[in-house]
Formats: sequence, C-alpha cells, structure tokens
Amino acid sequence: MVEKKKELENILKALEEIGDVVGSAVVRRDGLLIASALPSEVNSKSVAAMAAAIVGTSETSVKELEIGGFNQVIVNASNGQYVSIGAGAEAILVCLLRKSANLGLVLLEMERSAKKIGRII
Amino acid sequence: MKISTGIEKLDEVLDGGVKSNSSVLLLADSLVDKSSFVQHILSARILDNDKGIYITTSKTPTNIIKNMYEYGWEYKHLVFVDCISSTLKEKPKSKYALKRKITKLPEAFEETLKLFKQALKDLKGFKIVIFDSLETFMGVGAENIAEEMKELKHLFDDTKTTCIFLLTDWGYEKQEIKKICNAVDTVVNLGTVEKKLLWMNYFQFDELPRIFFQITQTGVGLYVPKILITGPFHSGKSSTVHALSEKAVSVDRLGTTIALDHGYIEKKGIVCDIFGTPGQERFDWILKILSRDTWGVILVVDSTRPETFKRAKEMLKEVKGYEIPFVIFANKQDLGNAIKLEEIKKRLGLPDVVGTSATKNEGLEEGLKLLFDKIFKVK
Repeated sequence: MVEKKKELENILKALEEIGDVVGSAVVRRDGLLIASALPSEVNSKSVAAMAAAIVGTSETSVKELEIGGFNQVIVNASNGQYVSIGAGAEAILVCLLRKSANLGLVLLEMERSAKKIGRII
Repeated sequence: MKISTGIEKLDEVLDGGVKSNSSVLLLADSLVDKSSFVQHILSARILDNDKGIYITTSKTPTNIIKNMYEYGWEYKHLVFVDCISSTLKEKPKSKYALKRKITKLPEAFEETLKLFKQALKDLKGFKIVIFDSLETFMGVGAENIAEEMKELKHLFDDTKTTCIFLLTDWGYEKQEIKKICNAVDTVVNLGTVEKKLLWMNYFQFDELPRIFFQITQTGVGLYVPKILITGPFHSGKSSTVHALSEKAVSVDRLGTTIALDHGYIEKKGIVCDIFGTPGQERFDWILKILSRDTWGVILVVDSTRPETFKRAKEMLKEVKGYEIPFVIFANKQDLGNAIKLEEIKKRLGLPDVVGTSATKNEGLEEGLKLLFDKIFKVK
C-alpha cells in the first residue's frame, strides 16, 4: 500500500532531474493532492484544487469546441510556466517549469511519467 | 464510570468513553502512528488531573516527551517505566527503569511487569497507563502475555487505574491476537485503507462504522477528504469557505466566483479540504468537475431571498447532494430582513437547516459539525 506512494514520489523526483523542472505534483481529478514535490513555500493543496479545475475546464471546452482529444494545459507567466496533463483516469500530473524551459523535452518526459502514474493508480 | 478519551467521536462510539479501572487494547496495523494517537488520549487524561504512567519498550522517554511537546500535549508529572534506555546503553532517568540490558525476553517481560506494578502501587489517585507496546514481548507467547494481562485487572481495580495496551499486528496468528483481545475489557482497532491513493487512518470499535482521522498539529482530528459548498449566486459561499478555513483561495472576478474556492480546515478535531462552486447558472458545467468524489455537501442559501430556494435545490441535485450527507446553511441570518429558520425549513422542505452568518462567523462550525456527524453516522 505504501509502496505506491513511494513509487509516485520517485517519479516526481526523477522529473526534477530534468533541469527545467522546478517542482511537480500528482493530483486527483477531484482536486485532492496525492503527492507533491512543489517548492515548500507553495500552498500545494490549493494549487492541486486549481489544477484539477483547469484541466477539467479545459477538457470540457475541448469537447465543446470539437477539436479532438485533450493533450495538456500550458500556463505561461512572466517568470515561469506550468503544465498539467492527465495521468490515467484518476489523476493529473502538474509540473512547474523555468521560464526558459525546453518545453518539448519536458512534455516528452511528462508524458512518460504520466503513463507510469496511470499504471500505478 | 466512564472517562473521556479527549477524542469526541471515540467517546461517542464507546458510549461516553472508556470505563474507569479497566483495560483497553489499541490493536493497530503497521501504518498507523499508534503512539501519537494514544498520547493524545494520555494528554486529555492528564489535563483531567489523572496521573500518567508510560511504559515504553521502544522509544526513549526523551523522544516521547519531544513528540508530545511538538503536538502541544500535556505531559505534566508523567512517570515513565523505562524498558529501553539501558538496552540503548543510555542512562535511564526514571526511578522505574531496567537498570541493565536484559537479553532474555521472558526475563525482560517479568522485570517490566514488576516495575509496572510497583509504579501502580506507589502513585496515589486515578491513573492512566499507556503500555507502548506489547509486540516487544510477543516472543514470550500470546498465551503468557494474556495471562499476565488478566492478572493485572485486579490490580487496576485496586489502584484506580485505566490501562491502554498498544499492539501492532505484524501478521501474528489470528489465535494469538484473539487471546490478547480476550484479556482486556475493550478493543479498539486502528487501521489504514487506501481510497484512490488517499491513505486514510481509521479507528473502529466493534462492528460500528470506521471513523477516519488524521493526526495534525492540533491532535487527532476527524478526517473527511472533501466537502463541497454550493448554492445560488450571492448566497455567501466564498465567505463561508473563507470563514471556515485557516487558508483559502478563490478564483473570482468582479465579485463572483468563476471557477472555485478552495479552503483547508484543521481545527477543533476536524480536518478536511473544502471546495466552493460558483453560483451562477452559466458556470453549472463546473459543478460536475468539482463535485467529483465529495463526501458531503453544504448548501448555502440566502435567508433574505426565498425566490432563490428553487435554484438551490436544483444545484443540490446537480452535485448529487441527495445521495450523500448534506446540510443547509441558511446564511445572512444577521440581516434584518432574513426569514426565520423555521420558515426556511418549511419552504425548502429539507432537513438539517442551520442558521449562519458567514461575515460574522456564526453557526458555521456548528453546521460543519452536523455534517461530520452525518458522514460518520455511528448509530
């Protein structure tokens, strides 16, 4: 039972080894935090709730607009960016990135990790 | 006579608390922090002027005090029966301590019991004893331990003692566990379940429903992962979330919530995440997203605008509130033109309506408690 949590934490740790990732979290689709490697000053519970709302909202709008399947949400800000993608039917993976991040590389790694997370759950 | 454990819901399932002069077994799985759980009870008893005795076989008294200090629990005049320090080659400070390392388990058990009995006789008045923990001695056989525990019962009666034994089940034979259980008056189970990747600790007495808890900085608190707050436009949902939470954020524009409010409650024995929805109809699609896997619903209505009640009931249906525990907060009761509670109950035709004022922080905690009671329905 505890192993699952450890596995998730290991995945998050591995993500941080990509230089551009500042922090990450696994969030349940209902907005509850499962595992967090976000910077300690961040209120990760709130971020989790908002990420679930953002992904849920985006997925719904994609459906309304009839533009195919949902891939990810990228939020771009003046000092950084963050990406949220689905990780199986029950979870979401969120990554906080440096402004200058190599998005292509990060997305690739995130997709790999999301698949792993989906399998664990 | 019953004595309180300091954990309200535990008292409730035990019909008022634990019997005085009796023995209790906390039977835990390996994922629960049983020591912290029991230290909360110990603290409550000390605050109630019981004398505390702590028999420790695996953590040093210093570590136990440190843990209790960090939680802000009371450990005044706590007496230790220290069966670990000498094993760790530390000099024990307590009068009741094994003076040397004993390698033979039966002998260590015997010596521990001797010290325990001596401490019981020396200390006058009502006592609460924590035995942390039995698994250290399981090697001498459950049968032998159970025998000694039964024997001790008389002493508990004579010395006005309530003793809580701790035992982590590391996969012992069912028969063995049963023997230990039969040697005490009350058995409470402490366990862990995983629900969609949330690890939830619970306590359970008899066949009663499991009560989920979390140990936070405020001690043992009832735990509900998610509560949803919904209701019509401008009924005071965001204010309610903010008034209830220590920390809360809102995604709002032009004075109305457009995505969600999120708050976290950790006080007065209650731990939960709360999610507030927007109230305007154009955001109704988000209700489905936010209401996923929620354990309970608070429906907030504006007591001054009965014309919105129909919409309120629709929203409750939308979030599947009728299928799970819900309470209704009749908000803005502080306003002069607020309709009386009885009238609101009648007009809504729904039970469990509580009068609240989010801006004045009135009635909110009472209402939340009612919801928790409905979620953890004991009887």
